[in-house]
Amino acid sequence: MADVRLERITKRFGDVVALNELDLHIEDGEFFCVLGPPGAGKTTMLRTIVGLERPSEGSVYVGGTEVTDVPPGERNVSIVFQNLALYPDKSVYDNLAFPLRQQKPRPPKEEIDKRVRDAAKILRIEQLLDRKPARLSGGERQRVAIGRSLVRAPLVYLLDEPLSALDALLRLEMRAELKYLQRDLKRTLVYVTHDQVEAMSMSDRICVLRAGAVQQVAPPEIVYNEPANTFVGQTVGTPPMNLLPLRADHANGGVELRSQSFAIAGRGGDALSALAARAGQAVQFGARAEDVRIGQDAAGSPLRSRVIAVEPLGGEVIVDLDVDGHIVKAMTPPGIQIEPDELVPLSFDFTRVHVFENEGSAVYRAGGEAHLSISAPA
Amino acid sequence: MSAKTLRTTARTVVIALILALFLFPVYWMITMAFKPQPQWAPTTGETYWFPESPTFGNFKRIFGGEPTDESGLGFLTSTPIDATDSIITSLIVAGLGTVLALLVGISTAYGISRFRAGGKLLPFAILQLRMFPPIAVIIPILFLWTYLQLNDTYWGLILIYGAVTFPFVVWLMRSFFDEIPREIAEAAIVDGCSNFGAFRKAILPLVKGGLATTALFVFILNWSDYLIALVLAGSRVITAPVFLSQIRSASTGVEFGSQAALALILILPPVILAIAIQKHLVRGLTFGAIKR
Ligand SMILES: Nc1ncnc2c1ncn2[C@@H]1O[C@H](COP(=O)(O)OP(=O)(O)OP(=O)(O)O)[C@@H](O)[C@H]1O
Ligand SMILES: [Mg+2]
Repeated sequence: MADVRLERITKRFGDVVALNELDLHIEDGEFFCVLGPPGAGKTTMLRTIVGLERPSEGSVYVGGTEVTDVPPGERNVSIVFQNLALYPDKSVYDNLAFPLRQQKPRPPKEEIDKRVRDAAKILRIEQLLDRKPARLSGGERQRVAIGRSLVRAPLVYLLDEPLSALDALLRLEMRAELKYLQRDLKRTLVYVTHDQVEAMSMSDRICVLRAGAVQQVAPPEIVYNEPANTFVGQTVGTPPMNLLPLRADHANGGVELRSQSFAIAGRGGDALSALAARAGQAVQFGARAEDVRIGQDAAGSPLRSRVIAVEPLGGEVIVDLDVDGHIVKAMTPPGIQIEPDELVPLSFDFTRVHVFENEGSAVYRAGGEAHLSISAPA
Repeated sequence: MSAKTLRTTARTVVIALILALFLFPVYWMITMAFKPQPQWAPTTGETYWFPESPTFGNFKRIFGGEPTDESGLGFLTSTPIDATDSIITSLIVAGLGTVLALLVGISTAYGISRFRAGGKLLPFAILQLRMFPPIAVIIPILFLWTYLQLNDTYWGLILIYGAVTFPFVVWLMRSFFDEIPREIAEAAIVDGCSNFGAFRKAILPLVKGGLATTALFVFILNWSDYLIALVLAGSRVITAPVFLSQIRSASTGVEFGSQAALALILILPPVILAIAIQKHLVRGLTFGAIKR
């Protein structure tokens, strides 16, 4: 049982800063997802935790002990690599037994055998023990790689995009399995992915990483509902959060966010003071697709927008609309009668919208007494 | 004849000619080894394309046997010779030279491949060693070896063979190591191995084929060396190729028949080795050839 703490970790590769002053506390027993686009530093972060990279600056703690200079084999942390890295010449059995055979003192043969078979049983690969990795399917290899990190019961598991090589259906299945497995093991698990659905569905907490810097660390629903900045809003959730550049200004006792063909007026509440402080500046107005109202739901809105495309997804329909030259995606229930080029009224669910400053951080969130509403342009 | 059949025929002829070019010396050596003395040293000026009344006399001769003088041309005036010692010498120096080149070369190759040891310069510096024609450096080395008292010793030859073939080992093995994703060694390290343990337990088994191919290649180079063994040794330490070149008799001059017999014996070790490691060899020759 152990938590993991990264203290002001910076990792440079020559001129490339892969991790930039990273501060992170992964709690004991937590399913922790690290989400970020390619090159964000996710792999580098895992390699730093396991000890394959030495941070240029900062310290790593596992279970409260500093391990910055402890070799990987002595950290009691296991890792499943992005490319799995099974030992190709060894049978599945020997792959699983390998970590146990390296332990000092080496456990007796019977114990190794028992633990290998137990792990194989959990992962349902018992019938494959004699095979070589080359003769396994992608999903089976995946299980073997996880099994190899499982056998020696480390304090912390690290998994680097373990499902990325699998087809969609198998991913779904493995996702659920991994989640149950972690629940049973009750061990700290750090899971790296660039798939936000994976992160949302599995984790206790998500860390969104961008260019080696932490953007937000929070449970999935917070990351989704209260993104710290535009990057998080656009990384988490499909389709990405709609962003509209607006201009903040004072207007008869409140704040107004203006665009060409509409304005958003704010009345009452302290929450608006942050907005008011940005009067005269550009801001980004953010609303998720499901918080965009169109047609009858937006009746009375002074804003009319043109439909660009209609994408039925089965469960719902995504409608692309043109708002002052920007595309806004709206999620509507199936069966909506709407055609491209139609002009429809558009509004937002103002209890769920966000305003970000132009550099990206959130400056306003819906809630409290403050209230926004849509109006005709001033 | 259509253009197509013409082309096929032309190609077949060319291939046959090239093959003949390469195989004829082998044929000539094998047949020569079994020819009685008058046929390999025809005083009549006659050429024997095929041995008439083949004999083992040449083989007996190089292993100290009484030379059979079937011609009555005075073959008997030669003193008996025995190639056994020189073959053993060759086995020792070529074998240990190969082991030395492999030990140093594999470590170097792994260091370069896995840890970028020596940066960009070292790999090319090593490759460059091969660009010298041996003849250009052999005389300075002779001085050095004399100074170090390595001249005409087993260790002298073993060292120089190791040094000369080491670049081959580095370049061949490096390409095999480069094929292996670095995560495999890293997985072993995370699993509790030392760097060396990861190399021995996780990496080495993966390059067995490449290793066998490299070992054979290097052994053949060392085994067939003549120039180095002639210059840096040759009085007390005599390798088989040097011994071979010196088989001559007072009456007939160079004893082609005995030389062919010894040459035939000398090609056996590489052939036997190749057959023994054949399983790995086929894989070794293809594995490592493709860069992903
Ligand atoms: N060994 C290295 N040498 C030089 N640069 C490196 C090295 N490892 C990583 N980098 C750089 O560090 C940055 C972060 O890389 P990293 O592999 O951690 O990203 P990632 O988030 O895992 O990306 P992906 O989703 O593609 O796996 C990248 O810009 C990468 O080019
Ligand atoms: Mg990665």
